[in-house]
This record gives sequence, structure tokens and C-alpha cells, in this order.
Amino acid sequence: MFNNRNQLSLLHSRLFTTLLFCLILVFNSACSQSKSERTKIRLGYIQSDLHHLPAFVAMEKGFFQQQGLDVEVAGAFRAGPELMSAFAAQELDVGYVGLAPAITAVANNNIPVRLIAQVNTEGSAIVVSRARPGSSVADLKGAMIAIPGHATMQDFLLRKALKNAGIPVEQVKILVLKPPEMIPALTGKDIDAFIAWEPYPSKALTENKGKILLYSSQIWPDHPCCVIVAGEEFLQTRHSDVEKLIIAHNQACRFIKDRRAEAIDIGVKYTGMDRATIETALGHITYHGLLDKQYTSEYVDFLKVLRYIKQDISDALLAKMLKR
Amino acid sequence: MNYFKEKSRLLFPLLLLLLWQAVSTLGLLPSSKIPSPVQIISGIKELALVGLPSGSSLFMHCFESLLRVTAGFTMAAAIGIPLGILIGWLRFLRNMLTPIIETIRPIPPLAWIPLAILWFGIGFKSAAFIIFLGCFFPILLSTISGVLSVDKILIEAAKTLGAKEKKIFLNVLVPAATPSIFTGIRIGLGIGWMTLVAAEFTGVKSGYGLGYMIMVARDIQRPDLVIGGMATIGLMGYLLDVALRKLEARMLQWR
Repeated sequence: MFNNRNQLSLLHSRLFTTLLFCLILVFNSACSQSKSERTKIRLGYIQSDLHHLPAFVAMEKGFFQQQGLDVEVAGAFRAGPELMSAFAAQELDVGYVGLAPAITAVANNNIPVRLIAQVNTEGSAIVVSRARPGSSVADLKGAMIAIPGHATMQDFLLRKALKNAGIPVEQVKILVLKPPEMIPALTGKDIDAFIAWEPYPSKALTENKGKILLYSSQIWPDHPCCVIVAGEEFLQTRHSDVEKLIIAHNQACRFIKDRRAEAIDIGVKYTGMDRATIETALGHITYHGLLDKQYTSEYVDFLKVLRYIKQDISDALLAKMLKR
Repeated sequence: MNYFKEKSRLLFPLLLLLLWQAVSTLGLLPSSKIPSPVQIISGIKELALVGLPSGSSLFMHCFESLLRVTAGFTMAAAIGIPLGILIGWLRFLRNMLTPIIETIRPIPPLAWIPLAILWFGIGFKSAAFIIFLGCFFPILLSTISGVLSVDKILIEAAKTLGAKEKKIFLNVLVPAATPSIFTGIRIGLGIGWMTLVAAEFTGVKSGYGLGYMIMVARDIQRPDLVIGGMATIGLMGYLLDVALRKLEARMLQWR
């Protein structure tokens, strides 16, 4: 097979080099893992999501460091389900994520996480095209309405708003679109209305492409939205760090309330949107860390009724999920 | 003997499934990462009976996706085959179009999504366009290569026998290139199914589609339903390929 000894020895030396490289790689990753296990906290959040502003503020203003925490961004995700998958792969310790992906991850996939704090309440809105007549939810009869996904808080809020207005959900057409595509779809007349989280409703407003029909605070006052989740193992082994993380988070929530101009700057930096949009949007999001079991339970019921969760979340399981 | 051959063809996938189930039952594969075959089958049953979202049945998802794939694929074949024959036949056209084709060909269909929405709006047309892009290039290139690989002796012989250019084109060139065109059609259709999920990313107004269903399953984090949807796409692609191969064998009996 080999013409001469030189070829054979060349092959041996290449094999040896490859093997050595692999060994170094394995050793290196093992070392870095053990190091990260010792100190770093791996954080995940959803990119460009203004609801996760406390995380951005805590990083920018050094609130985590002030608590003696070494937080590294292990992933900025496009959507909640991907972030929860990273928990399943044990790649994250804590994450800022929507309540829906957190609940479905536990109920459908047994991913061992707990909800350790609220990130925000409210902060969504129903937007209709400027040309559409009417100013109430009742006028949505027959409309094509975009939601960001089935089982999302916005799906629930829309159904609740329709129910409150006495319109059966069958009398509207519901379409799934990702929020960045909603405003172009509205201006292109592909849809008549959408419901999304901030800053998309405010962006439609500041760009004069849509009008707000209803803020989510008018549909369900103080409704829960995004939460901080932590891996169960992380929670058990580093309980004091979790407490410190929540202190930093609450500090960031207070900062957003007290020093609005600086918070807007950080929001602009992390979402890439204009100042006017962020300023308008922040007026409709409430940031605080207090979880509400009753409200969370109401949302779980909605997921159960529409069969979005296969395993019933009992009161005891929910209490366990909310216990830190 | 044939009976045994058929059985042995099924034996290997069956053994693999049994092994997969055994490894899952022993707890070596966590179901949050890879559900077991039994869980996937029960997921498919749930998709068929309950639907996802609840009430949207698997049958309707299959039907709508089949419509989208058929529309995109038919357009790709209707444009790709004649254009491929012309490009293969006419050197000046080949020289003129090859740089454009080779520049557009590597662009992934996913990258076309924003433009597709801009040009065709949300819904059926955008999805069919994305599928068209997936099917078009394999069909076009296989057709060109089929025409180019036609034995020159066949053409020369026809000329010697006094056949006119039109007759050579229709009676020699096209039939001789047909096997290669069929290969392109089969590859094109396979890639069409592969682009289905991306195509249904453009928004689904009807609320049905296998790619759309997979995205809903992903949103509610049900890997059993995600794999159930994937298996359905695979099975439909396989069945269509079998049908195409049968058609090919029938049409090319002269070979």
C-alpha cells in the first residue's frame, strides 16, 4: 500500500500529531470546565429583548460584580425554546426567558429548572394598522392577527382580550410570525393586527406604521411575563450566589426606574432600536423581581386547556418550581 | 428469494429501532434529548388524533405541505427542464448564463426569506418560491449535464440519415438526456422537502404545514413531536421518490 518507508513514517508522525492535538483539546476543555465550575456563572438571555433590560443593566453597571459574582454570557439566544434546550444540555446556570418556554420546558421535557425571580410584568400590546377603522377589540372580528407563537403569553393575552370583548376566537384568523416581521407584514397589508412584546408595538407607533389598540396592562393588569430561571443543581450547590444574583437583579430593576435616561441608553445599545422607541416602550414595562404564584397558575391553566403541556403541573409542582 | 430480500431490507432499520428503544429504556439516552421510538410513535398518534395546535390534524398539515412542495417543484421543473435543455444545446446561452447560475446557486434558500416576504407577501407564494429555489438548480444542472453527455455519434448518425435540426432535438437529444433529467427531478424534489421548514418560516396563513407544525412543537418543547414531524416529512419524501422511480422505469423502458 505504501511505496516506501518515508511515506509510512510520515503517516505515523501525522497520526501522532493529530492524537496529541486531540489530547490537548480534551485536557484544555476539562481544565476550563473545572475552572468554570468553580467560579463563573453562565448566563443566557434573549437577544434584543427589551424585557431583559435588567440583565443588560446589571452587566453594564457592574451590579453582578458588586455582589462578588463572576457572570459570563454563555449565550444570547434568538428564542426561549433554544435557551431552555441549553439548560437541558447543562450549558447554562441561569437564564432570562419568557414564562411560556420555562413552563413548557418543565412540563413537557422535565428540564430541571426553577423560577427564581420575575423579570417584568406587562409590556405587550395589540397593534392595528393605521388604516383600520375602529378602536376596540370588538372591531377585530374577521381580522388576520399575528402572534409570536402558540402557547406564548401574547397568545394567551389575545385570547383573553377577545374573550373579554365577547368575540369567539374562531371569528379571527390567527397567524404565527416572529416579531421583527410583524411591522413589515402590517404595512404590507398581509395582516390587520399583531400582538407582540415591547419594543415592537412602540416601534410601530414611533414609525407611524400602526396604532395601539390595547396595552397588555389593560387586558390583564400586572400579568407575568419574563422570569429568571436557574438550573436545579446550580440552585442547590450555589444557593448563596443565587441570592446575590437576585439582589443584583433587583438593583437593576430599581436603576431602570430611578435613572431612566441611562437605562434607555443601555436599552438602545442592546436592542439596536432608536431612542424614541425605547423610551416609549419602557413606559409600558414594569420591572420587578417578585413572582406571583396565582398569576403563574392562571397561565399554566391556559396551557393545560389548550393541550400545550402534556403533563399536568400540579399545585405542588408549581410551588416547587417557584421555591428557591 | 425475493421475499427474503424484502424482509432483510426491513431487518436492519428494525434492529436499529430496537437497539434505540433498548438504550432509551435503560436510561442511557435521556428523553429530553432524544425520545425513544415508542414515545415518538405515541407523539405521531397524538399529532394524528389531537393535532398540533390542538385541532389542527397531521393529515391537514401533510396536505398543505404537499400542495406547497408540488407548486414549488412544478414551477422548478417547468422552468428548469426547458431552460437546461436550451443551455445544454446552445453554447452561447451556456457561456452567457453559467456565471449567473453559479453565483445564485450556492445561496441558501433560508437567506431568501426576507426577500420572498417582500416580493410575494406572507403565505403560499413565498413558501412555494423558497421550495422552487431548492428544487430548481439540481433540475437545471442535471438537465444541462444530461444534454452535454449525449453521445455525439447519435447526433452525427441522425444527421447522416438526413434528420433536420428540430427532429434531432426532439427525437435524439431530449430522449437521450431524459435519464439525467429524471435524476435531477428526484434530487430536486428531495431538496424541495428539505427546504419545507425554511419555506414555512415565511408565515403560514392557513395554519397548516409540516414545517409550521415542527415549529409549534419546538415552541412548546416537545422533541417527540418534532421528531414525529421530521419522520413524516421523511416518509412523504420517500414515498414520492418511490413513485418517481416507478414513473422513470416506465418512461425509460427503452433503456
